[in-house]
Amino acid sequence: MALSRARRIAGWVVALAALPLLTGVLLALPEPPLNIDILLFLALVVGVALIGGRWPAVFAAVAGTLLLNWFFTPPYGRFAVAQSHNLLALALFVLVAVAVSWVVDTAARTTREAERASAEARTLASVATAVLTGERPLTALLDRLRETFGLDTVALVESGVTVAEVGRPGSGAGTADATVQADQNLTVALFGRTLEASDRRVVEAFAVQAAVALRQERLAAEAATAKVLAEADRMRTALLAAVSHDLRTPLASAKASVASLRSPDVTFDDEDRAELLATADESLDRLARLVANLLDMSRLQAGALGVAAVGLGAEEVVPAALDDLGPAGRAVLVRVPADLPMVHADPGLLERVLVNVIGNALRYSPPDRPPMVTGDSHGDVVELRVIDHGPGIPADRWEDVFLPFQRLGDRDNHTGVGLGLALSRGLAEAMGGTLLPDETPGGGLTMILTLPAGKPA
Amino acid sequence: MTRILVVDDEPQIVRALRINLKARGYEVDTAPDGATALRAAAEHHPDLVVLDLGLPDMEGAEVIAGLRGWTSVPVIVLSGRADSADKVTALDAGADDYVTKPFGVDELLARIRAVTRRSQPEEAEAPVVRLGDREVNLAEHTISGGVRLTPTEWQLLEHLLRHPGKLITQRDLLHDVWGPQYRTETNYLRQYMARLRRKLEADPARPRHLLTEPGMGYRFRP
Repeated sequence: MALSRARRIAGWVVALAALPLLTGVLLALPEPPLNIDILLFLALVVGVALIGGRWPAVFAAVAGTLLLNWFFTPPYGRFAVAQSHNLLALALFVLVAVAVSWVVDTAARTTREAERASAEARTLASVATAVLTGERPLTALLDRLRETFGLDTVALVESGVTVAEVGRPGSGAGTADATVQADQNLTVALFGRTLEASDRRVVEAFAVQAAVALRQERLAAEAATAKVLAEADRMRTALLAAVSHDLRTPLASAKASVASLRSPDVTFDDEDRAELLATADESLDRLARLVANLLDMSRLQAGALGVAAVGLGAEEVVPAALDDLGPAGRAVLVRVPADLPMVHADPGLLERVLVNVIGNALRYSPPDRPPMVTGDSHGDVVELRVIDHGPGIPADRWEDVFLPFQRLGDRDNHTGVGLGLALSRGLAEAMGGTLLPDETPGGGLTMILTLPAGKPA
Repeated sequence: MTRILVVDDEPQIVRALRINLKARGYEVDTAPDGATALRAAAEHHPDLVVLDLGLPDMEGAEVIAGLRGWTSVPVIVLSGRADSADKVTALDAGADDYVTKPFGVDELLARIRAVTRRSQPEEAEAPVVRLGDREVNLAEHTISGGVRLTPTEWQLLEHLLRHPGKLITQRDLLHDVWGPQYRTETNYLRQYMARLRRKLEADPARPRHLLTEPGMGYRFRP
């Protein structure tokens, strides 16, 4: 049936309404000139054919012939179909009706096919676009399929396992109302209604595209993993280079100093001896700090770091950390009030964090403006700020300082690998705190160590 | 002559300590593990034990318990940086002080002096102790410059000053000053130490004499 239901109904309505109307009008007219009545009935039949297609037209043709025969051809008032010219007229009427309605049907069918083809083309084009441009192409694609065909749920099934699903939750259970094969392993399962044969072609296109999208998503995921691995590999190489450099340097100077002191063929005066010993001692201190940081870092990364948090006074831990920093630590200004709430932290780890962060601040501070440590509390956290007036770091590179071995600016050989801040942040987080950089007003870097406040025991 | 038992499974450390301690006039015995250490202690009756916590055959706390069964010989614990929980366990088991590896020889010697001084009670204690600019008279309970202390502050200060250089654990201070039922009220210690520092230290935020060992205890540094 090429014509729509509405048009067919309209055809019937026109036929049933216009035939009596035309008959009435013609009867009311005094004497129709020529055989205009026949022409008018023919026009009506053509009109009904144009509107409603074949069956209303055939009905109009038969009914029109009978009306003409009854009312308008002598003998009036009765049927005289037996006469051959009347039969011929009836046959001609029906022929015209069928011929016109055939043309109309064909045209309508062609139009509908063209419309459908162009709709399909639009759908397919959007399908292709979704796959090529979308962020989650597979989901977008299945969603489009669901919308286009008014389905409840659309699922992509790979060897019996659902790999993607969109739609109302729960509506995708049980047996699918229709399935379309995408490739050997992939099937698109449709829930909500069955599929008309004419829709299958489009759904098949969807299915193939869905398979492509799935492959594309998997490749993207693989590429992302590979990128992470490559990044980790690059880091590891950098780490190895930095560690071996920073381990070898102090080791070499300590070894050289001690070996020369032991050599039997040279005698050093007291001053040289003292200097060699001091070199060995300082080098070993550096080595010890580096090894401690590396061990803590690997412990942290292996999740093997035991955190034994207790209630602590921050104003008591800060001086202990400054003591660890040796003579350099004496310059640091401390503004940590003694009535600060206790922090809940591991004493050893907190000290390590402070040693690293304050040590870093000292390293970048101009000699005449030493760093300052302040303490403050907000709600249930205690905030320690390590404020330096050094060159500072641009805000967009703040996170970089927390990457291992990403020391900004020039490399110097006296500060160990760039592990201190990475470790400090890790330790702070292991204690339930945070370590965040901020800008010092007037220039420089401020490190904000936030720790949970402890319950007073 | 003071006799010291050095217990460590690392021969280089044992050698270095032996040489250093002998050079400073101590008599030195060594042991590579806990069992040997306990035997050596029974045999030689050392005046001090330097004990590494990471021994191959037993936990440091077990060695301390084995010693404390029959002797009150002072014990200084050597521990790695990461073993802060082990340090507390060792102190609770009866160790007198600790030194973190890697340690400076000077630091270890200072600790050795501090604990051996305490362990010779016959030695007369000076009634007047210098604390920075101030003179504290422990016999008369007076402090130069007219500084006044409450009775609890006095008790706390006296405990620290009577053992210069020696670590006094939080537990011991709470027990001795507040009473046996106090064990975990470290906040009291913190508040009273803050008051003592305000009254006695030149810069209370950077104490030079009344020091905190975070999580462990307090120490008076002359």
